[in-house]
Amino acid sequence: MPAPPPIGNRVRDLREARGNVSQAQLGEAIGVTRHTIIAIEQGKYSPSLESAFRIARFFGVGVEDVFSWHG
Amino acid sequence: MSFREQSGWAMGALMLAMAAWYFGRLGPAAWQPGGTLPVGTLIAYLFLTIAGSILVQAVLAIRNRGEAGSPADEREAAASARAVAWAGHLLTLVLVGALLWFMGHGDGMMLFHALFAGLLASQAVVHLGTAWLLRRGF
Repeated sequence: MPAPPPIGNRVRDLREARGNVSQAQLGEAIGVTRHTIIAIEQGKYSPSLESAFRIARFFGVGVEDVFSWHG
Repeated sequence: MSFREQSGWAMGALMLAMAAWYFGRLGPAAWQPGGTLPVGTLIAYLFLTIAGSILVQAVLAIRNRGEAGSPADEREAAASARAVAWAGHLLTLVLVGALLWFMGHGDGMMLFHALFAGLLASQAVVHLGTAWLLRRGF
């Protein structure tokens, strides 16, 4: 297994805080598949800058409230 | 498992199976310098591979109705692009090796087999590499 990218995220927490928005709903809202949302939450994939902004915009927060750098 | 990962594993397995079938069917004469090109086997390989690909994709599309019709998203496209790059490197290595062999031995039949094997291997790498990256993460 490769070392996970040094980027953490709170996507799962934010989904749950927003009344359990499903991974499929979030994926549809930002234009990716449910599997990509799962990969992001598991730290297996770092989304593009555009998708990161879309996710933050979806939750009504800033990008740094969703993603954090652990490098 | 996503539609594209399923597709990658299934198509990769099909490519490997068809390559094994093709090279298993070649008779000893096909490997000799000046041997005859296995045109019949080649045509059968192409027909069976195309038919198998259509069948695999149809079955997967039925099983994943929602996903199958939608375009690849950014993660799937990136995984595919990386796998295509690997396949390109492999094809380049095989091409250079086959041409060097040809320069040394003048064996056109072996050149044909090597290049065809390289094409089959690169196709398998595209499909299996994409599936592996989607499974493992990157």
